[in-house]
Amino acid sequence: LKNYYDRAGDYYFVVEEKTSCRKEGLVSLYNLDNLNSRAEWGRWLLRRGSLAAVESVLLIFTFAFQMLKMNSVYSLTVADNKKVVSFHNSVGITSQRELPEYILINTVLHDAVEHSLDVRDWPAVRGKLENYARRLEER
Amino acid sequence: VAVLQRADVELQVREIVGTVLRKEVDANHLRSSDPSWDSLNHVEIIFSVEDSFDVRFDRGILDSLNGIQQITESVWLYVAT
Repeated sequence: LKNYYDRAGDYYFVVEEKTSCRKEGLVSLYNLDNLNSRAEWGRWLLRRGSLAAVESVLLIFTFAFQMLKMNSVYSLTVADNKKVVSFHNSVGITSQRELPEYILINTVLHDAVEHSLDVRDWPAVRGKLENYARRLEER
Repeated sequence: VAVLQRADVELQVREIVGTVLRKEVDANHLRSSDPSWDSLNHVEIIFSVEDSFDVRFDRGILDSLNGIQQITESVWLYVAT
């Protein structure tokens, strides 16, 4: 983790529950490509049973698009991680491509799926996520 | 006056889950064994169920609702009491 702190253009966030300040997990924006105004998001970990998925994704996209003014944000998911691949599809990210043998984990190459969200599609995604986040926050 | 039965609740929950997941699901369909029942679809299912039956689940139990039977049972507890 310490290495990440020293990298330029590498943002690591702790996701906390607002009222109790309980730590729900981590999410990160990194590999900033200022030339193409593009960044990767990931290193997304939430405690088991956490309901922070919607809000943490909303916040990382808001940070990327509205604070850093990125034109697009992408994520890479191991293809076998079908729940997370499905989550990205459910968010409404329609731009995706398969990357065979792309992610190296413990000396084994895994197929990956890249999901890319363009800033033009951000308002629709934001509307959907904000609606869910608001209803989650109400309880 | 039509009286809501548990079977009616189950049927409606099945319809909601099937609509959100865009496929046919049976009464024993489980979240844990369906990759397409991801955390975003889960909140969409829960909110649709809440709206349909005019109920509100506590935040603490949302993640534990692992399938059509558990959701049905939770709704039934609300509407039958």
